[in-house]
Amino acid sequence: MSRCKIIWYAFAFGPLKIWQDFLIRVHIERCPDCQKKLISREAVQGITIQESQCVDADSLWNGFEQKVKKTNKNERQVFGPRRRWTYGMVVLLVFLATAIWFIVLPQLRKTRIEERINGHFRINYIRIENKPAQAYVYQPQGSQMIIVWAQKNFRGE
Amino acid sequence: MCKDRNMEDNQLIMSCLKGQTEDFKTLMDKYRGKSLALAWNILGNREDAEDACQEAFVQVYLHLDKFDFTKNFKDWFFTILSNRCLDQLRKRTRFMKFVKTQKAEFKDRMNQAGLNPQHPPLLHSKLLQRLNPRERISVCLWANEGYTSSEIASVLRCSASTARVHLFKARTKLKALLEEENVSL
Repeated sequence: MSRCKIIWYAFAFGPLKIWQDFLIRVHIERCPDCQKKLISREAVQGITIQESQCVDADSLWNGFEQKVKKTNKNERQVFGPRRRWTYGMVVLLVFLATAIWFIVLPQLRKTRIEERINGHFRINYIRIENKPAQAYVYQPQGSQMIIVWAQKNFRGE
Repeated sequence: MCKDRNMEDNQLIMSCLKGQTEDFKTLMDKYRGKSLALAWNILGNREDAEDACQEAFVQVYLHLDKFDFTKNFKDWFFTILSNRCLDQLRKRTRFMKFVKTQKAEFKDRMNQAGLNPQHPPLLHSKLLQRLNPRERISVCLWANEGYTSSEIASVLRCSASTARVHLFKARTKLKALLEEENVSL
């Protein structure tokens, strides 16, 4: 009897289901004293609704038919072929617009800048005080700025 | 016997899938009593139970093509039904919370509209009301359908040990409550 008490305490203070299941299988299911603390099948049948009390369940069929019709109608409305096409087209358009915005437009912009730079920036020669100067041209990496440095050509003097 | 029953159910499902909808009525007639009793025990009133049963039957009818013929139809159906019942209980809890927060305003409005605010109906048995829904399902399946822990687990979609613990807790609570109320059975 004292062993049963320990088991029940262990059950109450060990909230893990695996532990509780272990105690049930190992002791409670086999112990006649512990079984007395559990309600019997017949007693549960006495306090619950039985199948025999539900024989007049004809209204189920009528309600069922109405619900099936309603559900079919709703499903048709939600997943109709016309809507499916519309959603498909919308998704496609959004995809195309995103692709154009993020891939095609930046490339176009880049080529346009390059064309502008190539078209407008040209140095044939630089002269200082009517004499050819020594010129340095450089462009910082990743920048559109071009720096031109010119100085007198001392060797030529 | 059980295998014969499975075969019979499977044949009915097959003919339903071929387009003979009358066979679904046969299937429904076969399980309507059991399903209504189970839902009634879980939800506590007939109206909600009928609603849950209808929803479960509709779901079964619409997804009959997904039924796995290697499994038991009754278990599959009871899983769907118990999920419907749990959904209804969740809705009811939400409704009760809403009523609690809006109590005064709600009462005024109902009075103005000439209606009496009704609380959701109580469970058929006060004893069953004290159990949590999963314990209620476990004990009803065990007592009325003769289900074992592993069969209850397949309905509740949990492990056999969890189902065993649910059943054990339900049985212990019910016994203690019966003794408290001095009901002789």
